[in-house]
Amino acid sequence: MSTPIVEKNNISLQQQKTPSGFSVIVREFAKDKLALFSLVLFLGIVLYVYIYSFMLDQEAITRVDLFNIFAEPSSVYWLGTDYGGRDVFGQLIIGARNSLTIGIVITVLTAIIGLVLGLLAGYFGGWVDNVIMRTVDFILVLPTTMIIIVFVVIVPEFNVANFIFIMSIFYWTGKARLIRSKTLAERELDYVSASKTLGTPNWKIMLFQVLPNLSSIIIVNMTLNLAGNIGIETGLTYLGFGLPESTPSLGTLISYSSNPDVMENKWWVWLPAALLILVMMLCINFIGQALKRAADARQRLG
Amino acid sequence: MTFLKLENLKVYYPVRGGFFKRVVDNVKAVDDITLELKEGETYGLVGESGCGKSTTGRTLLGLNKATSGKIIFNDVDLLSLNRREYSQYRKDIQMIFQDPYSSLNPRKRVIDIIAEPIRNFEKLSSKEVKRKVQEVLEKVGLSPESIYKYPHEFSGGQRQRIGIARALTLNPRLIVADEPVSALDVSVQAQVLNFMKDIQKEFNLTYLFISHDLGIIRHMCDRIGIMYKGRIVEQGTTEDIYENPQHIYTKRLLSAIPDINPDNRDKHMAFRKQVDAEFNNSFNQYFDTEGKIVDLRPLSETHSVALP
Amino acid sequence: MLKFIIRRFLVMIPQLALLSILIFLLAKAMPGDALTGSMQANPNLDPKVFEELREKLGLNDPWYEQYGRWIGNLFQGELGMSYIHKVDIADLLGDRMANTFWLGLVTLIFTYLIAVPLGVVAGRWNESWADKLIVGYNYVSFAIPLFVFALIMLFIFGFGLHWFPIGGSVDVTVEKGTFAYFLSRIHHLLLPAITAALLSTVGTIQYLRNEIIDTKLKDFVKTARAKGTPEKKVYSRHIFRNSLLPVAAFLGYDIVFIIGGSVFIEQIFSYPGLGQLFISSINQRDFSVVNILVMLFGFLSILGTLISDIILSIVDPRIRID
Repeated sequence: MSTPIVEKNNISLQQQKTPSGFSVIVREFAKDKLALFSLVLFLGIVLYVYIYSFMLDQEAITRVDLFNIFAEPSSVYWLGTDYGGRDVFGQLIIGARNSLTIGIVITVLTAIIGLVLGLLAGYFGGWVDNVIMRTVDFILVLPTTMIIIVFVVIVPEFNVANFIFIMSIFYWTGKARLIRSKTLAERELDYVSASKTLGTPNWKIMLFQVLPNLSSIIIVNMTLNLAGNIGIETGLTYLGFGLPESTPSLGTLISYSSNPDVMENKWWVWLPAALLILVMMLCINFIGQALKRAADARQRLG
Repeated sequence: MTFLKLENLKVYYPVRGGFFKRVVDNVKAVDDITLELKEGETYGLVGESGCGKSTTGRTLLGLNKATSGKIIFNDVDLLSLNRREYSQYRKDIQMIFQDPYSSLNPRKRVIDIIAEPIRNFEKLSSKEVKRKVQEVLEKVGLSPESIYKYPHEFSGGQRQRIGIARALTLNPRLIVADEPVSALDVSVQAQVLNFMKDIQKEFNLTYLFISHDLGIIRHMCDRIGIMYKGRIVEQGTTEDIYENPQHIYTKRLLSAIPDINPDNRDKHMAFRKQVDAEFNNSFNQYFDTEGKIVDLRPLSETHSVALP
Repeated sequence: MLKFIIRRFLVMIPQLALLSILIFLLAKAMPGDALTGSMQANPNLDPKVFEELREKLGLNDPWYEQYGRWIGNLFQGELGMSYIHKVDIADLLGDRMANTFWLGLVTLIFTYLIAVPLGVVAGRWNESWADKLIVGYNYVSFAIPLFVFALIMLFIFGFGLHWFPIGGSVDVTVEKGTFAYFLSRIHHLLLPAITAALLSTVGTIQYLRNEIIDTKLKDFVKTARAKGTPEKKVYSRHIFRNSLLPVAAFLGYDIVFIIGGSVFIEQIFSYPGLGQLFISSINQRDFSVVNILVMLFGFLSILGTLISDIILSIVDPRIRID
């Protein structure tokens, strides 16, 4: 009975490395043209922003030039200048880089916190689960935006690291909930019991047995969270409680629009940043939705 | 020397209710059972679903917590050990799971699945691990080339063999087989069962064989315990149970086995009617005043039954 | 049922207590206390006098004693004084609370006016072009950050087309109590309310659509069809009745979402409500007002989730978690 399997084995080995792996995602993107377009566009924006911001001289861009206040878009200043005569396009690039980077850092941090606590709560259950989930419930009912703003104002030395820290405290809860519920389901499967009887310690079962089975939902969730986190960061910065002045974000440019004159007549200062956020958010979400369908066999298009 | 003895084992689950979620009652999944296994034999645990047979097996492996009682293995009470001390017995007691689909991690290759216990207990180089995995795979009749495949590339029967291979790598002395073939096609059931018998001889294994299929139990087991509502109602050699059933529950179970021979149809029908009548008329004789099952009482050296 | 509601209420109590402790501790971490305002008003007064006053008011007591007093005062409706405006915070809140309430209410109405028909259409004729459009709208509204969308709406409909005023809650020229006054208020409300509503429809539309599509395939619907029930009736009697009810439960969650967004919406549309008061207070470091506002918003959020959980447990007994 074993011979025919051996024959087939060598061919199928290369084809089917993982049961629901990379090829499924590729197929999903091939079917969903919008997601594919989003992916290309988003990667393009990210690459352009990161590479171009390296070549930019941040000091030159943030230097005040009183002779060029609110210059309209021209061949020198592609998107004009702001109230200090600073190049808007350069600020846009640097702001986009900062917003992206901080969004990614917060996403990764909250993912780690949510993952650890969610796994612990789901795997062990009992009082561990109770303590963690009651904390989650509490944080979820807090008026998060306002409390973050208060924190930002009363923290003695406000800087980027502090901001990231404050954001991360409040935004891990959704992930923890998701991971917990999935872990609860996985825990009941016999492969976990098998690992226990084989003498595998609990932490190894969580990390090396359960976690790989959650990887697809985690990736989907992180993608969608990235969009959300960038939105929250730029929003807070827009209100003036996000990134400090020294680290301009896309929200900084948009916040100039609180001056009605800028809003109405100097649209080149804030509108490009707003549109860039819009485009990036849409791209990330379309990518995330495609990944979601790839992760869930019932929703797949292809 | 006791090989394995469960003594007054109880597994209760608290039922919480009322406003403050106090424990108002217990579900008695396993309610005071005592049984002994001799080295090298196959002991069958039979009963309807929900009677506590699986819980007994899982408690034996430490997957469920015992409420009270003793599990004596090699003259040591496993329940009194702490985690550290317990781990040295881990290798000796292994389990074959019912569902070959959920008992193999879909994200792991065969080599990782089978090597998991080796990596836990032995420090071997990756080459040695690979060789060992291939050896075990060959023993269970799978191609040693398939170590890099994923579980979903195998059939149910093959998957169950992988599960058995995984249990065998640690050279256990006792295997708890929890309905090992009930998720398989009838056509491969016999294959797997006979294979289990073969390796039993080869490795001198002792089986605690849990099943609801009386045909399989008769085929596999030396001794049998009939479980009902968390208790053992009758215990004896296969012959005792099948030829001379004493408890009404055992009789009812046996009368439910269909007979394939049409000539015996009338006889079988009469037997069923007789058992049914006995159940209706003399129910009280078999249970105590509250309808509970009484303690076992020996009838012969091998045969005991729960009769008042 | 009643047991669940009571238990759910009991969960709320520690949540409120924790919230108040958190806010109180935040307040302690903030610079300034109840006397800072009057101290700034009378810079010539001897600091010693203030020290005595401070002692008398118990500001030097351990934090838990001060906390106890603070909570006691809150329960009696004494919210304290604003450092900056030198008025009772209750007076400061009055009008703005009404403004925020009306904005929230109109937003909620618009949310359901948009979400329910769209969800029903998408579910009833799923995979049609209308469904695809609605799903597309849902993706987009889920993706856009509220403040970006609000700015663009304001830019287009306020500054560009001049359809709506660009700020305030009412024209200063109209006389209070007249019909024109009422119209002016509505006019000021519309743009912020529609903007917020357009983005808060996601959950409801998605839920309705999925629920209707799921219900369509259920056996009892097939039975109804097999009996010869007209298609229209199958939907109105069997499917919608089952799918629409749980939507009521989103009410509380929607309230929470709208409350959370009010900070942005009111700031961008210069709408004088509680959210805007929060931003201006924190910019002026008027912390006594900030505390009360955070407490109030937190209380409303807790109340919102409570409402939803209770409605949900009534409509769908499976969700009665405990």
